[in-house]
Amino acid sequence: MLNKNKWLDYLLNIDRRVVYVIIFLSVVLPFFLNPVVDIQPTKWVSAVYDEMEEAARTNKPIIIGFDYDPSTLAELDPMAKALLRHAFSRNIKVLGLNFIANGTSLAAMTMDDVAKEFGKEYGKDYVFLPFMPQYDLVLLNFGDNFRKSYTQDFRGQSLENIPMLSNLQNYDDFHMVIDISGTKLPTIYIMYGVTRYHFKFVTGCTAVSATEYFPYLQSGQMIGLITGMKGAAEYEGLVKAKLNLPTGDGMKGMASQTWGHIVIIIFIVIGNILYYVRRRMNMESK
Amino acid sequence: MSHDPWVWVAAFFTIAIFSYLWKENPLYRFAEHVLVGISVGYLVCIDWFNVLLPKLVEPIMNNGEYSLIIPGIMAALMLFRFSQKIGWISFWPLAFLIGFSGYAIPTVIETNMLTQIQATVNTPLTGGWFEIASGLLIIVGTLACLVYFYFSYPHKGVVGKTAQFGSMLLMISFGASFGFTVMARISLLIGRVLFLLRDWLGVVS
Repeated sequence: MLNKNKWLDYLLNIDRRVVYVIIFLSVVLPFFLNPVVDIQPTKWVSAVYDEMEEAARTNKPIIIGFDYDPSTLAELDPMAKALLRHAFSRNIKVLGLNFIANGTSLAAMTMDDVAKEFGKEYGKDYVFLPFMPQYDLVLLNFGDNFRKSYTQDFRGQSLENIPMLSNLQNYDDFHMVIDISGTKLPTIYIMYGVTRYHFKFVTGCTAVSATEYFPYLQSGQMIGLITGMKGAAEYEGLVKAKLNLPTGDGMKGMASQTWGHIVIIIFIVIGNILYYVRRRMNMESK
Repeated sequence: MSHDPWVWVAAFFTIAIFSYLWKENPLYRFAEHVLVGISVGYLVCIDWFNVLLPKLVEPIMNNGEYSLIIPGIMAALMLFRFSQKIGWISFWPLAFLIGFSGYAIPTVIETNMLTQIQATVNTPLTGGWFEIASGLLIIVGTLACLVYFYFSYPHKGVVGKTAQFGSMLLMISFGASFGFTVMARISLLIGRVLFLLRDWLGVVS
């Protein structure tokens, strides 16, 4: 009995650093062992893929809001790259927006890197507009003419000198709007954009905020949802299967994600069992 | 191993931040302070070159749009917040901002209440058994959760049982949120580990 108690005490008060090391190993090892993880796309991610194909058929540009900064880069950048790869591979023009000042250069870099892979030209195939505060007013102005808010692009060029923008004015000229964000911005897009101007809207969000956005899918205010690194992996899988484009960091991280989750589940189960046993032993001793 | 000095800088700061997991230490604090300083400096630059210069300074100086001086002064008044004596001056632009934000109320009601209520009322109860069960769960679940937050009647009998069911659904929703949070945190760790193994050490392709 004493021995059992000693073990229980030891396990219930295990140093948190031991837990960190085990989780760290569960994330690192899959990169070397390369276990196969089968990722099936959800219908919400498939809907985004189909809508992008529709944009290619209608030959209309799309808007992508890159509203993330380094703190959510790991989850959202793979998503942004997968979407851009799909768009550029199907010759869809992309207009980039940004309402998170800390992520401005990251977004510009992501667009340039992916555009280079497909030989796309800035100003002709894609444009990045600069950071703007008061996003609600910008989104409202976009319903009429985005030139009311923007006079120049991120590089400081006048919008009048950018060929891609010559025939574009408002949401009607775009096939859909995608916002990739770890903040509440997708809700702002829905409030000031979708509710008033009724365009097709997609959210790419961090896993933490995923549960916030499911109600908007059910109500039809959003047509698709990509959540976290898993969502990015799903999209990469779709693009790989249908267009034979290379997968990115989303798919690379899925084995580590799975192993990390298994380890955490095991810890939760063991912790609860030990807690239950301890409580029962205390009751018996009384 | 990377030959890019900036990758080494990033790797150093990643490890410095991770060192907090062992215990609080000067290396971690140094990295934290550098992060805060750089972030603020970067924000100031972005705001100056993307907003203040093209939207305020240049129109006033080059185009003579002097009406922009008024919002410029309002923005400058916000800086009085740093003063304990005359900090009240910053309440003027704040009052303007708060008053102006009233225009959001109808949009919020329409987006987050009316459309959501409409979607719940119009939940389709057609298709296979799974779709019908999901639809029923949405309708019953919404009502049960609303009953849980209805405090003008004692939670006894049928009302009590319904509120209990609503509370159970809320717990499931919190569990799902926690699961997603774990997923997000693991993803962030994967991002940094991938950076260290691939971009810095070059041991993973």
